[in-house]
Amino acid sequence: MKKRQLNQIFQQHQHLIEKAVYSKNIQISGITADDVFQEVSIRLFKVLESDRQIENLSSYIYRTTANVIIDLARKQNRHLLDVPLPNPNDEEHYQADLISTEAEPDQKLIDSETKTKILQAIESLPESRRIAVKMRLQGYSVKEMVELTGWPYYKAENLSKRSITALKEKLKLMNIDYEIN
Amino acid sequence: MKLTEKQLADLFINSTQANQAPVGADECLNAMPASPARLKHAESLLNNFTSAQSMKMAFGMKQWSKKVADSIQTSQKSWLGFFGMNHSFKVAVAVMAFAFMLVIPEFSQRNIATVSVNNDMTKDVISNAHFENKSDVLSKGSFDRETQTNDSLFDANFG
Repeated sequence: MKKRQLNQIFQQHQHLIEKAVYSKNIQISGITADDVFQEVSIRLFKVLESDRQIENLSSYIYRTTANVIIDLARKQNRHLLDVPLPNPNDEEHYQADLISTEAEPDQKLIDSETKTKILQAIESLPESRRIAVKMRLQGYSVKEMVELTGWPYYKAENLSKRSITALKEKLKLMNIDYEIN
Repeated sequence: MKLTEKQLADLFINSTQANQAPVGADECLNAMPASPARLKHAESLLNNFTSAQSMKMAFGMKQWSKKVADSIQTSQKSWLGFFGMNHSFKVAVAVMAFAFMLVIPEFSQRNIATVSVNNDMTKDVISNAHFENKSDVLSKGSFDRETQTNDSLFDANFG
């Protein structure tokens, strides 16, 4: 297979990359559909060119794409961490009032000691429940839980509900009234 | 104290922002579904905000991966089908080509040997031509011979 043919195939299905990359459900930015397109096509072309036998091509492309996305996101994250905040002495038009030093109302309610206790409560849950809570807090749907863990759908659905109930009970012992949505 | 799900989510996400997830996506996806290894890798990804969100993006690429794989396979099949080839046929052709590479030089060497044997044959026409023989035409051709009367050039009289 030639690179041109592979690019044509990728372009045919470009709309699906865009749909996934620009989904509103995902809270990371800085990754573009073009970045994913370029990086996956380079990696895939190398494999196809080598005439290596791939048992399940669809699964192989899926895993390669997942790796590419994670690599791009980590690179982007490192880049953001490396960029320092503007220094008031260096910036000519620095406006201090743009960066508020006051805590948000939500943050005011939770002090650092309580935060630590809450995180410890999550970590003290049994493995399956702990993972289910973490997935739910990271905004995973039940379908996405199934994808990540390989649990059957009904198990993921049950764990999603039961794990939050179990966390609520733990927090209640700490005098924290957790409202489940 | 009251805590909403959004507050809890923000608290947890903030705590995972600075974490590093040493696990790659394929390590998790390659492990057996619901196995202890899979869950361990999954949790490692969830402990890092960037990795957790990246995996969500990757799930959205499953349909795309299938479509691309189907298109690649269709394209490869049609190209091979045009020549009536499949993978096993390609292997067979490669083996035959290799065999020819071994056989043809061997065959050529044998031909050279045969030709050299033929050179020693006693019925060679050239070796039979004796220049000393009286019937040889060349031996008759003598420029010193005076009896040559019919030469037209010598008959030419300018006077």
